[in-house]
Amino acid sequence: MGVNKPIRKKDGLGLTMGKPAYTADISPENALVVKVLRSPYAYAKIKTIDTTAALNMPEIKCVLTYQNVPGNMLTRAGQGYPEPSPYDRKTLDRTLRYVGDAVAVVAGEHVKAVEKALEMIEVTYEVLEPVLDFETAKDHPVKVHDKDGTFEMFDIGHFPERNLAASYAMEIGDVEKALSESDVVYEGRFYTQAQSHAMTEPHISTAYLDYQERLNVITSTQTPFHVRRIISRTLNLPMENIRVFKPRIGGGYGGKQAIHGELYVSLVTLMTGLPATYNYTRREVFESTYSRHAMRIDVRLGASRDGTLKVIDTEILSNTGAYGEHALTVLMVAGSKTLPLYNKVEAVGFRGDVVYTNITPAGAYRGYGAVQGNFAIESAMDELADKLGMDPIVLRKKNMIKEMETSKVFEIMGEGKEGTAMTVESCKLDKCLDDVLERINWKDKYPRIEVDEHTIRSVGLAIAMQGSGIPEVDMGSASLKLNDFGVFNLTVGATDIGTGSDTILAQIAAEVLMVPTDKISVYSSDTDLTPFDVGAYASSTTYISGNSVRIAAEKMVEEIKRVGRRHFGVAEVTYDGEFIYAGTDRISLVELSTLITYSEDQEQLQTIGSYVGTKTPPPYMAGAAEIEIDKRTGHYKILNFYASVDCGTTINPNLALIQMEGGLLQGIGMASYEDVNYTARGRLINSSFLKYKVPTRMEVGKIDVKFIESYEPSGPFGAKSVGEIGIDTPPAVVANAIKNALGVRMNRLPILPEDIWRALKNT
Amino acid sequence: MNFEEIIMPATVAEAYHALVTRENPVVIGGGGFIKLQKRRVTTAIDLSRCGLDAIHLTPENIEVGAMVTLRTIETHEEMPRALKTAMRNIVGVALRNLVTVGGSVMGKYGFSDVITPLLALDTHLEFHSKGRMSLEKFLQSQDRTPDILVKLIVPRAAHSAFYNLQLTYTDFSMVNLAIAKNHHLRIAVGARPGVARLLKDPNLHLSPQEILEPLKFADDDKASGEYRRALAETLLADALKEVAQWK
Amino acid sequence: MEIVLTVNKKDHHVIVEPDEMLLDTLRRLGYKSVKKGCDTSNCGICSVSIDHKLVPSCSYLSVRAQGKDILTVEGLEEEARLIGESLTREGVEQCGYCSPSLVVAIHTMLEELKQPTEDEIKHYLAGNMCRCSGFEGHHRAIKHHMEVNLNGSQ
Repeated sequence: MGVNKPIRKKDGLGLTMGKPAYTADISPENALVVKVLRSPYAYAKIKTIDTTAALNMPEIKCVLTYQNVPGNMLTRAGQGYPEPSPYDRKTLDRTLRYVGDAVAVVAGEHVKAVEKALEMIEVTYEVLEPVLDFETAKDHPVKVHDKDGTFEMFDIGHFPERNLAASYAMEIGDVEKALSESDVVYEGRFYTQAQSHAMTEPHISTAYLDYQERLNVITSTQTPFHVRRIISRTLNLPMENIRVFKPRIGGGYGGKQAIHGELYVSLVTLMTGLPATYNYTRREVFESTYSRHAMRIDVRLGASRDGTLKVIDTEILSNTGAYGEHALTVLMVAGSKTLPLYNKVEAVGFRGDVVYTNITPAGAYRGYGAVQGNFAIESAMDELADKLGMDPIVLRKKNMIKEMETSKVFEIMGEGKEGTAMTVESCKLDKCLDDVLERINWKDKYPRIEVDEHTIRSVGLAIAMQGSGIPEVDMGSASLKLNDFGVFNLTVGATDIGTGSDTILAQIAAEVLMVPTDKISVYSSDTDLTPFDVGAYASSTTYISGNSVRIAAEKMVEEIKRVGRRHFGVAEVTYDGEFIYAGTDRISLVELSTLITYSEDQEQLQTIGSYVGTKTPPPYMAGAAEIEIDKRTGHYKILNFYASVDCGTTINPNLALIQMEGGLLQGIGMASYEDVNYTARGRLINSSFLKYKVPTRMEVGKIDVKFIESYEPSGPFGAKSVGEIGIDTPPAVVANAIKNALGVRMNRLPILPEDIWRALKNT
Repeated sequence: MNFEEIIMPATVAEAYHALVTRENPVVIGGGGFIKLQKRRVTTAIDLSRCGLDAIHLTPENIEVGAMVTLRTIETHEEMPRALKTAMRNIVGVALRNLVTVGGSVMGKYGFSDVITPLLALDTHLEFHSKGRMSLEKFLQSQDRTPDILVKLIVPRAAHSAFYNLQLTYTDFSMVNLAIAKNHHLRIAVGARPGVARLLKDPNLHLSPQEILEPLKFADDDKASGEYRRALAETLLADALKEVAQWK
Repeated sequence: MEIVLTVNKKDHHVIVEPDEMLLDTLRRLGYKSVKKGCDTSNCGICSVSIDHKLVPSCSYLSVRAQGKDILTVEGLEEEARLIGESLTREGVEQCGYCSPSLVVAIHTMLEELKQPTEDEIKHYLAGNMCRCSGFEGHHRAIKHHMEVNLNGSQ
């Protein structure tokens, strides 16, 4: 049957052989080319804009500016509705809040004409003084959103007059008291950068009107249903006139968990009646979509002399750039997906402000706050161990969460609102930790080995947790249809963005239905044709959507039995995937399904399953790396990275492995070189792959992942999530390894050789 | 870069004629930079049909046509080691099959991993009109008279080596250094971030710090000048250890 | 200007702009396996084989490709299927966007280097970006392809 089998991804061979499958491949050939004129200034107001010359070009069919598009406020964030992100932008605005903000949209018959038309739009700007430094943005005299009609859907601590997109605070117990009663207190400040997703397929959307004059949008998105809702509400277009669907997606990692070009192509198509496509340049992907929230994280840890952790206090300043997409939720996840790791404390403090600045916005990115928080907490734990004169492994083992335990944080902190209390029913973190220590041979390598007079080898370690969907928010649903000749169609709202979720969900259905996975065809994520799903984010698909598939399949088994009973005229039948049995009689599923389709008591069997989580069972992992570092230059190489992972049952062990290996390497890139810098005037420097360095296949000697046996009772066949957890540990692992090698604590990402060299010089 | 027309001359003479007679022309070597520059020109002169992609071996020299690709140099058995090594980390095989040695030299790019070893190897350039000139002189020259580079004359060095430091395997160098020995020892240091500079006959009794003292290192978004100097000193120390083994 | 391009052994008469890149021409001709990645010839995702050499089609002038043998994954047929099966056996294709160019790169690599070592494989493919996979699975897949599909062992 299906589960825990390393079967091939259903779409895999077609994709590797280059079959047309992505938005650009299947868009109408005659679609108008759409391009966007972007702001050269970090903060400016359009004084005048003259599009006459562009519109006079015969090839140009449409120019959009703030003057001829609906002025409704929106958030691009693709999140549950009402969204916990502020409505702080318009489709096109007179005010431009970062270099790369959209000034005007041009659609024409071919690229060259459109590029020429962009140059012919005459704009005069009133250039304003920008706010570029996020550490001074709060209560800065310059406001990024000054009385411009922003609003929150519910209380998210949105105070635009203070440059706050969102803010949050909570306290469990008495933090100051616990700190004062601690024998040893560590305080540290950490910085994480605005990592870019760098998915290989740039964002792209195409719109056209079908023969019924309904707006169809093909788009490279993680959230088709959210995109449909945002288009409808923003453009005042009735929902029934919109269809959004996604073909294959060339990677997302959170970067496509928002609306990007969809509003522009929709407007162009609605105004011209013609199909239109907007394919982002790589520079636009870097400059004008969004990146990870850069953060400053202040951590205070207090412990008694014996290594009992008494208190964790975290204060975060998060930079959301010009717009507040995912501002509150990423902030909260920095706490909610790290603090419960050490659940035995007396007191926990968590506070944070998310500030507006005039740079490229921040948004969802794999790890979603947890990776930022993990870097700070897991670096701080090693420092605390150092202060205690204690082995950092012993300190972790003494304080970390164990199976059947809970944390008050689960109940208090959710995503954008309060959380849900939960007992952790599957947690093999202890086994993960032991396993990773053994595989890296920690006892022989910790803390360092001097290779020669300037080369040192050292090891570093961190543990992590994530979640599996957002409880009581994320809904996934699935529909199963039994066809004649015993084959099934599975339609799901879940959005396969390359992870293989179509295949995994088919495996879950196959397991319940007791049929080979090949008998199940999958179609996913089309607002006309599939049931609803929030989309591919928050590590939710396997757990949330997977449970919805399980439910639909269980109902289908009951339906098959029902028609089996009717066929035999008996009160009880059994079913084994191939046959339906009534005593000594039997009929094959192939035969029965064909009978009910064509000749006997004809009816269509179709079932639906929906699922909303009541908890978010965390996957856990321990990560450890061995590095080699040249103390003359600070230059280091990651020789190997070991990960031991508890994600419950791996529905497809191959695909889970690749999720882990890929997540780890993205985390290593974040730890080591993926850097985001701005000029003094607010222009993004790292806006191409010349300047933004992602890891190549040569950066790490070996990535070695092992799954530890585990079973999550609430998951489909024991599964939890695996999509995000891989990215969480590398920053702290690398920082801890460098500390173990050289005795310097690197508290800023990425950890560049030059910064290590400087730190060594200053000691 | 956009251009209105492209011509593909069959000889260097034709290409040169077009270069000096056409209005607003640009010479296309490998073409790797076309997508990187935002400018409009009238005529692109493509050199790919001029027969400049040959490598000619003489007892003393390797004569490398200006249109020879970086990948050809990387995989050519007779090329000096420093030059072969320097090619390995430039972006990727596909780009190295596109980008030419002539284009790399004519760009005088500061980040270049190509120029540094050529400079250490005492390479001479042969232009269609200006004739021969040392690479060293060419790099310092302010002469902007249009001309077409025909070939590079790379002496066969007894020994040579290339060192660099990068953030990732295919990234630009933070600093690079090539060292070559024939009759004399020559050290070139590039990505300072300015274009490579040469140190001739360095006094090996001096420390790496002292040897590199005359060179300037500056800041850019990749590294500070101070750090670059420290890296170059480390690379030179490693290089001199290797030189000590050369006979 | 009108040119003739030979793609996967088939001649196409096509009108191109003088500064048009092969990526755009090939996609216009229906070779959708050739993908746009970065615009700056840094990612390798647009790679095709020209006269048995891997090149970035995003920076290769279409007019220059006249008279040359252009090969895309559509022209690799059975070999593409075998390499593809090795990649999908690991699940390493993930989003799949970089896969067609990786298949072409593996093809040109195996033309150039008959029995490459793991280091040679990694070096040859270093310019082929992938953001999903972490690369380990690529190397497992290539090893499998060389051992099983090419040498017929196991």
